[in-house]
Amino acid sequence: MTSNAQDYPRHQPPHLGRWLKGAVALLLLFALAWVAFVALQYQQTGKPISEVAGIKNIGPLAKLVQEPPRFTGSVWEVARPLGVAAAPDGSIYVTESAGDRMVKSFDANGQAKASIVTGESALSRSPLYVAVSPSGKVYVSDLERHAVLIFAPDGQAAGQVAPPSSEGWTPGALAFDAAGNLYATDLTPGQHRVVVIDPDGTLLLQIGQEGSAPGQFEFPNGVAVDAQGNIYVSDSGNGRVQAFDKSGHPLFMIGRGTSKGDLGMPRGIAVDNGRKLLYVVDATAHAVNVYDISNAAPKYSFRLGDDMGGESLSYPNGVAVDGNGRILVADKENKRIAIWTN
Amino acid sequence: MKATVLGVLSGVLVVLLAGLWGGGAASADNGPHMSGQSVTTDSCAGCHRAHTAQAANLLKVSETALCSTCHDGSGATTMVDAGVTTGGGALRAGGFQQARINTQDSNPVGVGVLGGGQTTTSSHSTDGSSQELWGNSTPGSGPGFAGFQLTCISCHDPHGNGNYRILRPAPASEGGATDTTAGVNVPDESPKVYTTTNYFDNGPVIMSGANAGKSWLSSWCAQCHTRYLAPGGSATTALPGEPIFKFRHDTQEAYAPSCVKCHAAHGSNAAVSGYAAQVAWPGGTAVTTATGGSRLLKMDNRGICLKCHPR
Repeated sequence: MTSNAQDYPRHQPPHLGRWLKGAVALLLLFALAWVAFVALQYQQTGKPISEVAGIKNIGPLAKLVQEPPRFTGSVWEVARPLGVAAAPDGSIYVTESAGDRMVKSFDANGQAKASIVTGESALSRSPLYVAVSPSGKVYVSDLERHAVLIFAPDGQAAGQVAPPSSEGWTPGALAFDAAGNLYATDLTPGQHRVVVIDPDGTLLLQIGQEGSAPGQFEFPNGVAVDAQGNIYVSDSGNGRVQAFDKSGHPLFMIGRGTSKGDLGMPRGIAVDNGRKLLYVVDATAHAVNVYDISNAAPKYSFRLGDDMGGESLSYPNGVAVDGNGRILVADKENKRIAIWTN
Repeated sequence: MKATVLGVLSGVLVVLLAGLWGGGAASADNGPHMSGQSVTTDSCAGCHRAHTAQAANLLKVSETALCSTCHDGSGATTMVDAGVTTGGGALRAGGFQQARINTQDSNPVGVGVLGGGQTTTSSHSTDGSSQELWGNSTPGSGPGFAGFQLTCISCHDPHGNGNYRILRPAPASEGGATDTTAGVNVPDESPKVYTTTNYFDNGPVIMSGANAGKSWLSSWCAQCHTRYLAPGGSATTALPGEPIFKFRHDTQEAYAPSCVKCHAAHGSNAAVSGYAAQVAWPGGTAVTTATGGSRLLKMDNRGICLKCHPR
């Protein structure tokens, strides 16, 4: 005796009424409408579906909330600068990626001071980024040395930051909060992340890992912290900025795209706590995007160094805001620090 | 009927979802260099200007600056000027400004890696200046082709192509290709290995099948350095009609040394002195560079010869 599926009567659920079928059809229609909406969103923004939800898009109708600062000059004689930092006394520190590869320092008026060297010869050093602690010490990440080196303002070596992992690290971007905690990105292959280290060298917080999902990073080249402890990270390889609260919980993202305020390749990042502005260098747009961060959602405000203007930038990389609200931009291919003043 | 409608709706939903997820994924081709349609519409404007470009290929600035934006270690693991990765490994091809080749290594079968970088004494140019392609063209045509403007994209395709190291099928001079050959698509390796601990290496991509043992990279290099690709017996049999490259070291035979076994493609830190420093360029031009013309060799002077020919 053989069985055949066609021999069995079609199953008819006794409790599945007409209303239930209608509800299922309605749900499917809602789902189709949602998919159509997401498809339209993707067509307009070029962002994958995974980046649409939860991301605050900076729309083209964003209101100009502040007057842009004025371009007021440049500090020259820096060889393809990558990083820039401002000290409490107004001094400017710049990392060079070419020539003698030194950390050049200038006073607030742009007059050269003693340079800092992170290795015995240009061959043995590769300074990447620089930050100044609240006490005025200069911290420099060095790709060749795989270390964050500490210097007194006069350039005297003062040790280095202990790596957050026993197997070492490849520190990149640097920033400090008012308490002297160091925020650093780690570019170690396979474990890109952000770490927060207190003045005693204790690892306080670690955010993310290498990857493209929210909360993950690809070559994070910028980190900044605001007065509330919120952390802003330039996730360069993923073309976005990710913001986190002081505990490392995600706040928002500013993504890659074509609308005003969208990003291409974000690099340096800085916060003006007084004006509640976030400065993000977009290296391939040759500009600095400025966002109002006075509310929970960032709002695109204006842009510095528009590539058709008189103060045009060429592959800018680092950015810093000094105590007087001046914006310092490491303008790599123009070999200068470009300065805007509020 | 209702069941049919539900089935159609479900099918459409599944297809749309699958399409959206697939569309959102970026098909990486050697890192951020994309091949295919996955680049965003903004990707073009990051590097190109349609009507106000300041460099060839409609680039905003020279592509060497563009490439180094990432390949200085801040956006890619490979630091091509320094000849090293961010992880500390020595790049197979050396670097344009520094290299870590142990050019005095006494190991008879190896060329090791130095702990730190040394300034290169010879390198392929990346600044777009005119270079001579030694050995280019047919027998009897002179020492080479002058006026080839070499930059990063002369050899590498920044948009990605799936080849080993995104090498172009045929090298191109800035502003336009001069080579009319169909090209050599060097197959990629898997997994990709960017570093080495022994520079005395034929390279990772070797042919199979009827050409088993032959070097893809020798064939690729020979698109510019045409007459350097020499079959077995070229050391004892003269190249007909050729006064300069008359007898040549075998580079084409299976398991013969490939170009990259003796030369570092990006640059070498080898030192040259004595007899080696007096070796003129092909055609008889005297060496005038302060480094004596290390010719991308991986050992000081002509020490690379001794690795295979110890006597």
